[in-house]
Amino acid sequence: MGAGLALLLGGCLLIYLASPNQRWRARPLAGMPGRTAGALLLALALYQLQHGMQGVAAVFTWSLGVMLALTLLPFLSALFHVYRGR
Amino acid sequence: MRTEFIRIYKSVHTWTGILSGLALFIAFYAGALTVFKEEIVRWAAPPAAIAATDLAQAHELIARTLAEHPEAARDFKLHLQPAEHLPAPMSWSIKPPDADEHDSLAGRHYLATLDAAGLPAVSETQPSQLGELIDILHRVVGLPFDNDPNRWLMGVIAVLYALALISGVIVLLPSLVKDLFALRVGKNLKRMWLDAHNVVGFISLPFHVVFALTAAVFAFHDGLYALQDHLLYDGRIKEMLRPVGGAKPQARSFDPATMLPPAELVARVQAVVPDFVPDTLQYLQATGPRPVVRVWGHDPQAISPRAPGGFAVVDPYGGRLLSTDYLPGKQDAASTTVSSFFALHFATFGGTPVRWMYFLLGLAGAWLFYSGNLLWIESRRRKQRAENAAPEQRRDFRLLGALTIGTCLGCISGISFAIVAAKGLHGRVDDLNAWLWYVYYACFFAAIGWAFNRGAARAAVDLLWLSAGATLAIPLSSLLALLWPALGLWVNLSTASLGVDVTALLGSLALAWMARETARRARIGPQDSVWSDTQMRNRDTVS
Repeated sequence: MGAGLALLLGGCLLIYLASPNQRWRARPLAGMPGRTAGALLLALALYQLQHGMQGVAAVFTWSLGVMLALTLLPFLSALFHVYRGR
Repeated sequence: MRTEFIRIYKSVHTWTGILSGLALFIAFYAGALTVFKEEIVRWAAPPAAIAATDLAQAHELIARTLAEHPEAARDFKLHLQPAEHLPAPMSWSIKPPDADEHDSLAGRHYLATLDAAGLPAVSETQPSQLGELIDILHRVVGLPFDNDPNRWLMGVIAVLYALALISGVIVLLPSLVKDLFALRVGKNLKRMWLDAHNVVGFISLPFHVVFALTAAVFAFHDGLYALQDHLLYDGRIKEMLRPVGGAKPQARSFDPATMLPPAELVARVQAVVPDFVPDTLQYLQATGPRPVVRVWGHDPQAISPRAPGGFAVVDPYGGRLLSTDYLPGKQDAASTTVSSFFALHFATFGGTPVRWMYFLLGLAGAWLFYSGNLLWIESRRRKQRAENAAPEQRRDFRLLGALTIGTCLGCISGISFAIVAAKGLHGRVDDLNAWLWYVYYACFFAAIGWAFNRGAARAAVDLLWLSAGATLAIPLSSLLALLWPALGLWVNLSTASLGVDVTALLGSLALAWMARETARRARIGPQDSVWSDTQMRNRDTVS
C-alpha cells in the first residue's frame, strides 16, 4: 500500500502545483503537462493499490487519499506562505 | 445559472448550515476520535487484575466455565488477541429483556479465565464506558442517550447536512474552476474564511456525501426495517437476514466439551481467506439446538461489513463453514454493495493508514462546520468607517460567536477531560462510568457559560488554552504514572496506548498554537470584528 500512497501523494502534488491558485512556488507548473503527469501518477497509484487489495477497497482508499492530500496541500502552502512573509 | 437561483441556494446553505453546524461539529470531532475508540479504551484500561489464559487452554476454559455457568452458553466471546481492555480471554453479558439492542453495555458483564489449578475463575466486571461515551456523542450529536428520539434528531441533522452540501455545491459552481485550490490569506478575512471553507467542503465532498447518507440511514434504520418487515417480508425479516447459513436446528442439545478447539475453528476460516486476521470467536447458542460460532476479524485488504470487522459462521462441533456472507473479501456483489456503505462509514478497510485518513478528514469536517459559523458572522458584521470608532456588533452575531466557541471548544476539552478522568478517577469514585458523563457535561456547559460571559473573542483564547491543557493532560498522566507511581496512575506501554499519548501531545500543541494565534488576532486584528478584544488591545497600548 505504501508505494500506492506515495504515487498518490506525488500525483496530487503535481496537480496542485499546476493550478494557478497554488501558493507553494513563485509560478505554477505548466498547466497541461503538470496536470497530465499528476493524473498519470494517480492512475498508477490506483493500479498499485489494486495489487493485493480487493478492488472496491482500493478505489475507496485511493479516493480518500486524493481527498485528504488535495485538502491539506492548499492549507500547508498557505501556512508556509504566511510564516515566510512574517 | 441565474443569480436569483444562486441567491436562493445560498440562503438554503446558510440556514441549514447554521441549524446543523454545531451538532455536526460534535458528531465529526467525536467521530474522528471514534476511529481510534479501541486504542483510547486500551489507553485508559487499568492493569489487568486477572491473569490471561493461554489460548491453547481455551477449549478447556470454555467447557469448564459452561459447566459451572450454563447461562453463558447463549452468547459468549473468546478473545484471541490479548489487549489491556480484555483482561480475561472469555467474556459474556446477561442483558435484561427490555435492554436497548444498541446499548452494548447494558446488563451484567462477566469474565472467565483459568486459575493456577486449572479451574475456571469467573468474576463480574464493569466495562469502561469511555469508548461508548465518545461514540454516543458522535452518534447522537452530543446528547447523552443513544435512544430512538435522539437518533431521529441525528437523522434530521443529517438531512439538513445533505441539503447544505447540495446547496453549497450549487452556490460554488459559477466560480468552481477559477477558484479551485484558492486560499487567499490577506486582509480580507471574509475571503480567507470562504476560501478555506470551500477548499475543505468541495474537495472532500464525496466523504461528506457518504456521511450524510449513511448517518440518515443509520438514524432511521430501525423504522426502515420495521416498514420493510411489515410491507415486504410478512414479519419474517429477522429470520431472513440471520447470517447463519445452512445449519438446521437439531432436536438435541450439545455438550460443549465435544466442541472443536478454537484454534481448529480459526484454521478452517483461514484456509478459505489466508489474509483474514481473526480476533474474536463469538459462540451463539453453544449448547442449544442450533449452535454456531462467528469468527470475527479483519482483512485490511478487503472491506469489512460491520464496525467490529467481518465474520465467518462455523459449526463449532463439526467445523463446517456455514456462511461467508459477512466475511471480508468473500461476499457476493450484492452483499459487497451493502457492506460498502458500512465500510465507508466505519473505516473498516485498508487498515491503519485508512483509519488515519478518516481521523484527519473527520477533524477537517469538524472544522468545516466551525468555519461555516464564522463565515456567517464575518459576512454580516458592521464595518468600521475610516477614523470612526469600531461599531457595536449586532447581538445575534455576538451570541452565535459565543455559542460556536463554547460548544466547539467545550466538546474538545470535555472529551479530553473525560479521557483523563477514566484513568484519574479509577478506584476513587463508586460509579466511574457515570462520572465520565458528569465530567464531560460539566466541562461542556461551563465552556458555553464562559463564552457567553466573556464574549467570543476572549473566551476563544481562554477555552483554546483550556482545550490544549486538557488534551496535554492525557500524555502528562502517563508521564506522571512513570515518574511517580505513588499517585496510583498507570501507563500502558502497547503501541496502541502510546499512540494515544503521542496523538494527544500533538493535538495539544496544535490547540496551543491556535490559542496563541487567536490571542494575536484579538489584539491586532480588525477592530470591527467580533473576534477583536478591546481590553487586550488597551492592555497592549498601555504596556
